[in-house]
Amino acid sequence: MATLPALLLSLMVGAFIIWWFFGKHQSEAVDAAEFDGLQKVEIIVDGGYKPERVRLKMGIPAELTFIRKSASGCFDEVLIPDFGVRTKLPVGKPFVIKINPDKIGVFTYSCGMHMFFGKIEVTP
Amino acid sequence: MSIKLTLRQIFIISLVLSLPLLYMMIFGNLPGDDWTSLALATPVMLIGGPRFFGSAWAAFKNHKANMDTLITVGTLTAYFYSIYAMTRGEHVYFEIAALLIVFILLGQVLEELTKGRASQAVEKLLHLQAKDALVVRGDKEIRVPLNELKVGDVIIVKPGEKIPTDGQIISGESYVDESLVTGESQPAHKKVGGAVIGASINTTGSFRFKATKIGADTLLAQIVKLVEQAQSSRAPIQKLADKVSNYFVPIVLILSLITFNVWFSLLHAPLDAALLYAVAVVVIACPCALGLATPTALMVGVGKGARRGILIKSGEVLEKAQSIKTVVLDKTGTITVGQPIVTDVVGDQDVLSVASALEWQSEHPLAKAILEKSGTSKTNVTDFKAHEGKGISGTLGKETVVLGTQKLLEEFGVSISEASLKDWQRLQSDAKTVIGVAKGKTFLGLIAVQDAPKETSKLAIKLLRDYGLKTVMLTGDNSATAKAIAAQVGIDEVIAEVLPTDKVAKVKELQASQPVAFVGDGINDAPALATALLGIAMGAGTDVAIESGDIVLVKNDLLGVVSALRLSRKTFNRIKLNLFWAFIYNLAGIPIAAGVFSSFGLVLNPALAGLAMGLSSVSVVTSSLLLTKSHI
Repeated sequence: MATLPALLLSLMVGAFIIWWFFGKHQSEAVDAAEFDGLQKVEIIVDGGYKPERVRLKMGIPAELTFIRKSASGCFDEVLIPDFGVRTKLPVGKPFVIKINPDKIGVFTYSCGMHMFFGKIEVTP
Repeated sequence: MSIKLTLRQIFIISLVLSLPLLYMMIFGNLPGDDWTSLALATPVMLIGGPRFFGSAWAAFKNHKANMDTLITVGTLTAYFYSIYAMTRGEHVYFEIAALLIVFILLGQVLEELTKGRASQAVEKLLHLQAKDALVVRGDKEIRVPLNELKVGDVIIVKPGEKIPTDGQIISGESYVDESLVTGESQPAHKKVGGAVIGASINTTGSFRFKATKIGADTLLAQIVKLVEQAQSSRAPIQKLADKVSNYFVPIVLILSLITFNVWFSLLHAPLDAALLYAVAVVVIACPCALGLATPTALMVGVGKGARRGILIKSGEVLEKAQSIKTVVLDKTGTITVGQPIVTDVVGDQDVLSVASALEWQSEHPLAKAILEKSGTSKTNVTDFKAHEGKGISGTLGKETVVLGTQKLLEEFGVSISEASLKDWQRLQSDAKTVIGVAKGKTFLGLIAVQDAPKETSKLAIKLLRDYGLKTVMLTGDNSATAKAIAAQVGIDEVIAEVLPTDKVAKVKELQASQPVAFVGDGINDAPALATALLGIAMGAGTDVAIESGDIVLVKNDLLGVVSALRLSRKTFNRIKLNLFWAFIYNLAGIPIAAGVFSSFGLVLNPALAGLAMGLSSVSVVTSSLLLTKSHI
C-alpha cells in the first residue's frame, strides 16, 4: 500500500509549510536615503512588499516609490491609513507616494484586500 | 508572452476553451477523450494560469501565501495528477483544472466591476466642479480655466451655470441649488454679501461674486480630501480579520494535507478521490472575502454620506457612533437659528408696519428681526428717539408711534387691555422678548422675538429619542430661555448658564456615566467637540468645523445628526454582517469541501468549490454596495 509513503510525505510537506510560513524570516528594516531635505525609499511590490519594513526620520517629507511588478489583483491598491493614503498602483511603473512622517511609531500599511502588510517605522 | 491581455480578455479566451470541458463534466465524454481534454486545458493553464502562478511564487519567496497560492496549488495538483493518470490509463481531471481557473477569473472580473463602483463616490464629487469661470479682468469679461483663478477675482455667474469656486456675492441675487455639496434639497436664496459654494448650481438669477477660496482651499476640495482619508482609514473591527488572514492560507494548506491523508491513508479511498477532496479544500477557502468585508463597506458608507453632506472622518468613528447613549447639543446656532426672529405678532397688519417704520432708524439687534419679518421699505419717521432700555418712539405722519416695554407705553399714556396684558405675560413666560406697539394713545398689538428653534430641530430630537438616545441641551443662556426652547423641541435635560470654558467639564461629567456625542457649530465648541467620544460639527462649511468634528455636517440642520448616526450604524452593521458571512462561509465551506458530510451525499466538485470561492468575494462587495440603496 502507498499509505505510509503518502503519510510521511504529507508530514514532511506540513512541517515545511509551518517552518516556511510561520518560522522567523524577518528581514531588516531599510533606512530611507536622505537628500535635499527629502527622504526617499523604493519598495518593490511583488508577492509582498520588499523591503517589508522601511525606516523614516520624523519631520522630513518622504517619498515612497512603489514599483509594482506583480499584476495580481491583490496589489491593485495600497492603503496607508495612518497617513491617509489609499491609491491604485500601476503595474510596471514606479509610483511615488508622498507622506509627511509627523509622528513617531510603527505604522502598518497593506494592500487593498488586507492580505499583504508592510511597515513604516518613524524614528526621532 | 509579449502580448498583454486584459483580465477580461484572459477570462473570455479561457471561458471559450473551457466550454467543451464544462459540457463534458455535465454530459460525459467528448470525442477524442483525454487528448481533447488535455488540448483544451493546457492553453487555459498557459493563458489564465500565469496570473496566479507568478504571484503565488513571488509571495512564496517572501515566506508569504495568498489567494493565488491556493489557486495555484489547486489547479496544478489537478492538472499534473491528470497527466500522471493519463500515462496509467486512469480517469483524468483536466476539466477541473481549467474550470477552476475560469471560475476564479469570473469572480475577479465581477469583483473588478463591483469594486470600481464602490469607489466611485469621490470621483463623482470631483466631477461636480465647473470647468472654467467667466472673470472680469480690467474692463473685459474672459473665460479662464479653474486653475488660473485667483483669490479676489470677480466672477460672473449666469442663469443655469455652475458656480466655479467659493466666494461672496457683490452684486445681483439668485437662488442657488447647493444639493450636490450640502445635501440641502431646497435652493438657497443668495443676495449681496451671501456666501456661495463652488460646484453648486445657479438657478434663474445672475450675479457677480468675489472669489474667496480657490483650488485646494475650497469646500468641495476639502470634502474630497476628507472622504479620501476616511476611505483609507482603518476600522478597529478589521483587526481580527487581518490577524486571521495572516495565518489563513498556510493553515488551509495544512488542512488540505490532513484531508488527503484522512481519505487516503485512514479511509483507504482511491488516490484520485482523496486528491479531489484536498483540492476542493484548497480552492474553496477564501481569505479575500474577509479582507474585503470592512474596506468595501467603509468606502460605500463614507461615499454615501459625502453625497448627503455628511462627512465621516474615519472607520473608527463608525464604531464610536455605535456606543453613543447620550447626545449633548449646543443651543444657539445648533438647535436654534442663531439669531432672533419674530415668532409672534398679536394684533392687525398695522403692528408690523408701524414697528418696521420705526425700526428703520434703530440699530438694535431686534430691529433686524422685525424688518426681516415685515419686509417693508423705508418710511419717513421724524422725531426718532431711543429710550435707553425701554424702546423707541417717533412721529409717523402726524401721530406719535411708540415701540417698547409696557412701562414705556404707559409713559406715553397708552392703555393696554387685560387680554393684551395676558398675551404679553404668556409670551414672556415662553422666554420671548415682547415689544408693545402703539400709535397715538391706541394700543395696536405685540411683537414677540426669539432665537427660535430651526424648523427641523423638533423632528430631529424626536427621532434621536426614538433611537433610545438621551438628549441634553448645554448652553450658556439663562435657565428660563433654555428651558423654554427645550420644551418646544422636546429635549430631555437642560444644563443652562454654563460658561463656554466649562462646557468641556460638563461633557466630561456626562461622559463619566455614558458615552456622549456632542453636537455643536464647530466655531465656539471645538474643545467640547474634541472632548466628547463623538464630535459632530455642524459646519455650514467653516474650516474650523471640518477640523474639529469626527463627523462634519455640511448642512446646518439637526436632521443631519440623525442621518449621520443612522448611516454610521448601518455601515457598521454591514461591516459586521460582511465579516460574519465571510467567516461562516469559510467555516462551513471547508468541511463540506473536505467531504466531512459525504455520508449524507453532500460532496463538492472542486471546480464548483472554485466558483463558490469567486462568488463569495463578489457577494461581500455586493453586500457593501447595497448600502447605497439603504435609506438614511
